[in-house]
Amino acid sequence: MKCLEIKNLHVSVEDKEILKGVSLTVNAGETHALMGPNGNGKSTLLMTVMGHPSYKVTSGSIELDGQDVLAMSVDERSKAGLFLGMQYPQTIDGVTNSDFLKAAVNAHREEPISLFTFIRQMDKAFSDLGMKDDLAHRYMNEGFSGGEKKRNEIVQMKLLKPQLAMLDEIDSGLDIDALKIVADNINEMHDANNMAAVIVSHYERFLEYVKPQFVHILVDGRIVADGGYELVEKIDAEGYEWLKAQNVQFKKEEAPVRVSLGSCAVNQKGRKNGNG
Amino acid sequence: METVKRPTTVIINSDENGDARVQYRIEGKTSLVVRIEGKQPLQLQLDVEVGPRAVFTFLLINHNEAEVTLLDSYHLLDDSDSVIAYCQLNDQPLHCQSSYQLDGQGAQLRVQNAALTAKQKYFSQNTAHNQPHTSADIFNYGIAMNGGYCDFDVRNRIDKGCRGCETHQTSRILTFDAQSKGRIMPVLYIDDNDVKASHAATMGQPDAEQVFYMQTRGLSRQDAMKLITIGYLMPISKVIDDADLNNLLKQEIETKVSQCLM
Repeated sequence: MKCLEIKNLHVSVEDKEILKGVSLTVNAGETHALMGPNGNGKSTLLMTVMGHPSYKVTSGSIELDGQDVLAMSVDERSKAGLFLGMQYPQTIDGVTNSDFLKAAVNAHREEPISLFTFIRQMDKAFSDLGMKDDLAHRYMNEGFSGGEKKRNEIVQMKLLKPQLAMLDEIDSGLDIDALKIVADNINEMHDANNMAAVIVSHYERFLEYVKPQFVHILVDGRIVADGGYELVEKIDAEGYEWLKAQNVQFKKEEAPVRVSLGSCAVNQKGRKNGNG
Repeated sequence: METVKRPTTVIINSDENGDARVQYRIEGKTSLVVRIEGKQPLQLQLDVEVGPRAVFTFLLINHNEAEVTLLDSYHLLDDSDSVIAYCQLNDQPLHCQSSYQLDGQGAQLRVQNAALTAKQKYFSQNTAHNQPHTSADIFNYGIAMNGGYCDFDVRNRIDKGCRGCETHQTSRILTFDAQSKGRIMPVLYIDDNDVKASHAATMGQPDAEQVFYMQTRGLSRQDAMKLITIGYLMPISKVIDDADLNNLLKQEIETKVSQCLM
């Protein structure tokens, strides 16, 4: 990847406009931090780039090295080098973590990976993230703690080797040690593969570890400020109130819009025997 | 009635027996696999008596290439422990009437049913706790696709005086498209106060958020659905301790799901 270019992006969810003209350029090897108050469009931007069907692009464009990302299916975006580390990773009952990882790795290859090579890579990724071995053989995120789920996202990132990783509050749920481990692994991927990253985070401590060169503040669906790392320090010290002095209109606090694609999943609770 | 004391596999060929009846008595710790094969319609009557203290695993795999009517009944005697698993993944109509009679104190039963259908599959399961301190746990997992229909009618009965019994049932159906349908009828007849009983029934479409999540890792929608479907049906393999049987079952599920979702 050379460049991801987002131009004047407008996105609606259920006929409500969330993004109101976002433009952002990410070049190979760059690390960008996306900050801003809750509910102002950061996750929407990442979900839209990845192709979540509930987010409708009403105008604007997203191009990856000149190719129209909006014309790609979700899996094509992944194969093109995009990765989304989710704020709320899915639990998939009945599918083991290792089976899912292997299927994902193979989806990115012409020939299936040999079992030996896959296990070696998976074991290394688990070891790098300080995860217990048994998590590989448990159902996907089933019974994982919040921190384990986030580390598992980074395991997937390491195995898929994306060119651009979008990480949505990947630091939430992590304890202090895990925060450093996750940050180290992101930095390692950056150094080894020239991976670009767009990181959504509220916490200076995490951003201090990954040291973004570019920082953007998203308020009410628009990027209202750009800068370098000094912007992280300013937000950490002062919050977002200072933006009001610059005539930035804040979105009125309202109940968050929960987006669902529909589900039939029901966990069995309170039974004598679990079913797995 | 044939006595089964060691692991046994029986093949019922519908080309040879259009109307078959088999009877078994189970003793000790053992397993019985019944495979239905052939291309003709079949009515199979299967009667099984599980002797006192027997530990029994039963697996029925239906490969028949025509409609099957299965009438199976089980009499479970004192302190027996039975696992009864059905692998009904063939693409043919099925009518299944199952009767589970817990006739001996301390008898335990677990039923695990995996069904995949693009035609019509009907399951009627009657569990009767005829003695105190018996337990039954019934699990049905069905998938209806390409206009298929899946029906689970599940009735558990505990009569007065059968204290200390436990009876539970869970039935789930996934419909893969608007043309596919399902019905679940969960019924508990309870006439004693000193019992534990529960039922659960869920029906719906595959979780689209799960599909999206998998797609973000590069899996096509079809491959994501395949993985979810295999995972959905796979709990049946957990109840089979025997490693060879377990592998057979996993292969069966993976092969059939791959064929159906090609």
